[in-house]
Amino acid sequence: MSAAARRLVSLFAAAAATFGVAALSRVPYPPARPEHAAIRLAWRAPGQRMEQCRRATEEELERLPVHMRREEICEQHIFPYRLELLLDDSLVLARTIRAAGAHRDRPLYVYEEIELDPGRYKVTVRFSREMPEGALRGRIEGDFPEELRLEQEADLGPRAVALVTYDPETRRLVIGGNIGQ
Amino acid sequence: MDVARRLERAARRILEPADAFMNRLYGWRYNPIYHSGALALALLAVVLITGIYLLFFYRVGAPYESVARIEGQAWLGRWMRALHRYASDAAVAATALHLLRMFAQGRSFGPRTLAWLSGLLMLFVIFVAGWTGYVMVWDTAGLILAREGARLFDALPLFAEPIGRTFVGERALPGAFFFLNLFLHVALPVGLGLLLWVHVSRVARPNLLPPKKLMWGAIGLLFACSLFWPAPLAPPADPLQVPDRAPLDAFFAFWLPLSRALPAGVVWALGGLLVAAVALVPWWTRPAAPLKPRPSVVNQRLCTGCEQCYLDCPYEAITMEAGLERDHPVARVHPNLCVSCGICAGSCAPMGVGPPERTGRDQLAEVKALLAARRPTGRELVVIACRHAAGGLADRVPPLEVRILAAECAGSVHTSVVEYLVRAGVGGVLILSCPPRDCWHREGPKWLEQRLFHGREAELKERVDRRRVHLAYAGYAERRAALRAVEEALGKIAALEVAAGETAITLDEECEPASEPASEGVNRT
Repeated sequence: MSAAARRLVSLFAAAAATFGVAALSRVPYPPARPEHAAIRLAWRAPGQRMEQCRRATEEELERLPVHMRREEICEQHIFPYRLELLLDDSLVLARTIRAAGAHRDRPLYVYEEIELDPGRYKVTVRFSREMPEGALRGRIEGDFPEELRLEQEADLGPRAVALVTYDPETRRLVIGGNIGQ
Repeated sequence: MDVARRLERAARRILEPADAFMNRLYGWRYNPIYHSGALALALLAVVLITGIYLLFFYRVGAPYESVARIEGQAWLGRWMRALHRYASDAAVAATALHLLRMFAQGRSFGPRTLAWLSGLLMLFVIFVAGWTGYVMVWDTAGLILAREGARLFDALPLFAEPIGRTFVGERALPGAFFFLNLFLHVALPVGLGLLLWVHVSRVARPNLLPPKKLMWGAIGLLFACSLFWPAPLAPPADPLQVPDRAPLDAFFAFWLPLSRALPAGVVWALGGLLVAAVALVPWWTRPAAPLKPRPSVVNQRLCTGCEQCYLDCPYEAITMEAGLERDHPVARVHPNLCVSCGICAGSCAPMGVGPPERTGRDQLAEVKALLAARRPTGRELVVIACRHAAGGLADRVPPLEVRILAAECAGSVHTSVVEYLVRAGVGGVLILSCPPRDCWHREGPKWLEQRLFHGREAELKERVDRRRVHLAYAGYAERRAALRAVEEALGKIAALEVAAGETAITLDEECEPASEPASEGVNRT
């Protein structure tokens, strides 16, 4: 290869590498596919808390350091909730939502997203308390409803997201986002 | 052969032909693969400078709008932003190439462990800084990255509330979120400076910048690309819309298609395994004990305290310290820093330092044995070939009338070896080294060239016929270039008179101290 040809090839290679960097910097994502819509369920719920207390036995108290001895031992529990999503009366999502945190004493967080074809849907969301086997029995605290229910028509255009959230003021599930009524 | 060697060889099979190709195009001085580490630093400097400019116009209260305004500055803002982006992309590519190079050449274990780990950490910091940079823009691409990041982090028991809720679209994102992003985007690169200091702390004379032609050429091309093909700006982020096709940066978001297709736990498990495998490279690639390179030792009796080995060591593994029974400091090798390159062996005129069995005296003994087995004819060529380069001549002897001597590093070859060969009557000596910027031991060819032709200490003596001494460079995959160098050297020998050999050559005795203590202290820490 002559010096001039080599120089030309080297310039071309450098330009191609630079072009490659710029091209890889703008890869279209997600890859081409039919446009779809989505329904997103996202809320934070304090849930229903139950606290059950009993008197500690002598043995239990003796096992504890003096400064930690309390006569009453309390266990807290936030009930799990059953989440169901129905579109046109067909069940598309069913899940048990448990309280967050290692001790399951944090609020319940719901975050689900379902992709669907654009169109008009009857959206039904149910969020109802579960009472598992062996759950504590006692006084239930908190004013969070035992069941939330939303039923509404939503017209979802291409790429529209319907957002279902919980409104703590009205204590109801509400639907918003890009929905035609 | 174990897995580590197989992987290293596989990586070399990719790298060596690429090196050879680039050498043909740009020559070894400007081969961008050789300079990948320094090139990455130069590009990061560009990222820093353009980033400072962009910082003046970015607003955490209106992120997308401020970036759109920057885009609107057709003659400055637009190409500054594009250059910022392309330079960071190119820096990632150069860093990855540098990483591959160090792995392929087995330059990751022992004293180089610190450089490997700090380099890996630098790459991680660049990634995270890049991630925050894309989220800062708050376009569709930023939203995709932010939500995916939130999904992954929410799978870990780190946050009291799932951070994914931030992006559901219930309410506008607070300015604090963008301020935190901006803070990370600025603070992380500051940490890079500290990591860089650690990265090069165990090498002498680190090359922090590539040759000017290469550096300005690369920056110029990126600049031109920024002008004529500016970086895209996707539509603003709208959490209440399914993201349309967004232009994502493959250098920073290459993992996204895989990540989104897998549960977060699996992504963490796979990512953790990959990171662990790469981070533990220094341990799983180091050779077993019998094959481990042995650090240099110093023969205190021969050390004159000239400091040349201390000056030439590319890894600062030698210090000068008070010696036993000597009135001058003597060299001391620190085995935990020594990579056993043997460059000190080539730097020591009295041949008193070097890895065991590879000191100048050991080399001389090997050459004497070679010539004793077959007397030189006065026309033949002896090729001293670097094991890691030289067209692979050390492994595959060429179909030519030459004798091959393999060397761990051309820089470890003692000039007495060359002198002995020439004075013993060989027609010529050709030292086939790796190209200087490709040296597995950093500075071997540079010191060798200076010792042979420019009088650097441990120099080739003036009495040696320079017409019979040749130096050429060729990478491992450049067999044709190596053979061409051999043929040229043979041609030059043919044009000379038949070499006359001397019989009584006592180079090693010349270096013996006149009167020294009887004990031969070997200094090893």
